[in-house]
Amino acid sequence: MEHLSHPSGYVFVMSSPSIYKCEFTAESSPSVFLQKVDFMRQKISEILTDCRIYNWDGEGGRAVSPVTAALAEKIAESLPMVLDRPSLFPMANGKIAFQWIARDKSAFLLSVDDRGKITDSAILKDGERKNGSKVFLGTLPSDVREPLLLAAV
Amino acid sequence: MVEMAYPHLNQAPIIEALIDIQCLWGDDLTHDKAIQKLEDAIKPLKSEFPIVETQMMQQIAFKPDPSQTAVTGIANGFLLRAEGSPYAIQFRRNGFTFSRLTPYQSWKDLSENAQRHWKIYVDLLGKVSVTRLAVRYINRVQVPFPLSGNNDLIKNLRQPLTQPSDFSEIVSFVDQTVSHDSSSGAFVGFVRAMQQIPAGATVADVVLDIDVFRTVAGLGGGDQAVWELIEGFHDVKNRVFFDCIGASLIAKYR
Repeated sequence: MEHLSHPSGYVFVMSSPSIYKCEFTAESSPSVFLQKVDFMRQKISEILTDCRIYNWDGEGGRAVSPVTAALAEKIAESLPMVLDRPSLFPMANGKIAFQWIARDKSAFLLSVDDRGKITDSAILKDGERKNGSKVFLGTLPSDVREPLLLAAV
Repeated sequence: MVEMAYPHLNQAPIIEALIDIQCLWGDDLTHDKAIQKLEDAIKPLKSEFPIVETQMMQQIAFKPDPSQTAVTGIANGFLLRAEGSPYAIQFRRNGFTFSRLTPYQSWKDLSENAQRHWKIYVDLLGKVSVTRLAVRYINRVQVPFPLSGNNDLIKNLRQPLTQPSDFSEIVSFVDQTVSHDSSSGAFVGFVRAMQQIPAGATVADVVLDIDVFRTVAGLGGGDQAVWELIEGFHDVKNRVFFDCIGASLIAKYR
């Protein structure tokens, strides 16, 4: 999968990688909502910088690897465009996590490790809990993506 | 330009509405000194917008060796937000943006708040020369899926593009056009996008992103002409949006 970022803020997913690079030149006005991919990239980089050494949290926290950070960036680009900004944070097991709280107070957590395994969990407003794990192959699996849409704006 | 009256949509499908003013500063500062000036300028706003994010100009590069991985971006300005607030402000080296996120209230709310904070930007940063103005509205419209057979909704949303043949069903699309509006002299960047939805879903999100913009010259930060032009761009945005969505969606969002 190839992700191409457009100046307007949209991320295009090209399923067949080409040797030619597209240059997008159209100008646009800076949207806070569409900047969320840049925001997530920045946060991921900060997490990698702050947590790249074992015991980064003083409690034996496992180092976050560049591979985990790169996969987290690809996940950020793969998220449904109508989602609001997530919170991003490192986990003690070396994963990077994305968290959303929806308007109905449902909570969603998505985390990724350096083997490309994504773990998702949700606590819905009626108390129902869901969780699962999948391998990330470039796009979010539909059973991970669909519940996340409850956190759309 | 004759202003049309458009219906107010009580449940407007707006994700973000923004006013963007790009400008040149009167003083000739180095980049680092300019960013320092911006940092000083946002201090009075922190009580209202305590969440401050640095906006970077460049992408971050990851290195295989963790010790070489570092933030390599260059600061370009600051994004100010507040927990639970629908407003966001960008104070940048090249201009100012004021955003209203969901839930949208009204054009009056957006423009009056933008004017108030633009005045703060100009007062704190000194003489500026406005170079570009824009009004951008990003809408999220929900339509029944699959798209075929929903003639009223999709006919308007998808003009002039259609599926490649009568036997294929559209499952996602993205297109962008830039056109010139002769009445206002503005350009209209229009993006329509629908991401592929999960199997079995019966509702699809279509993003309609309308960006009305124009470069300008000879306008200072305090010129009322700035806001007169912005008001006209809002009218252009309305024309594009209401031409696109059709009667049944207007009724849905009223």
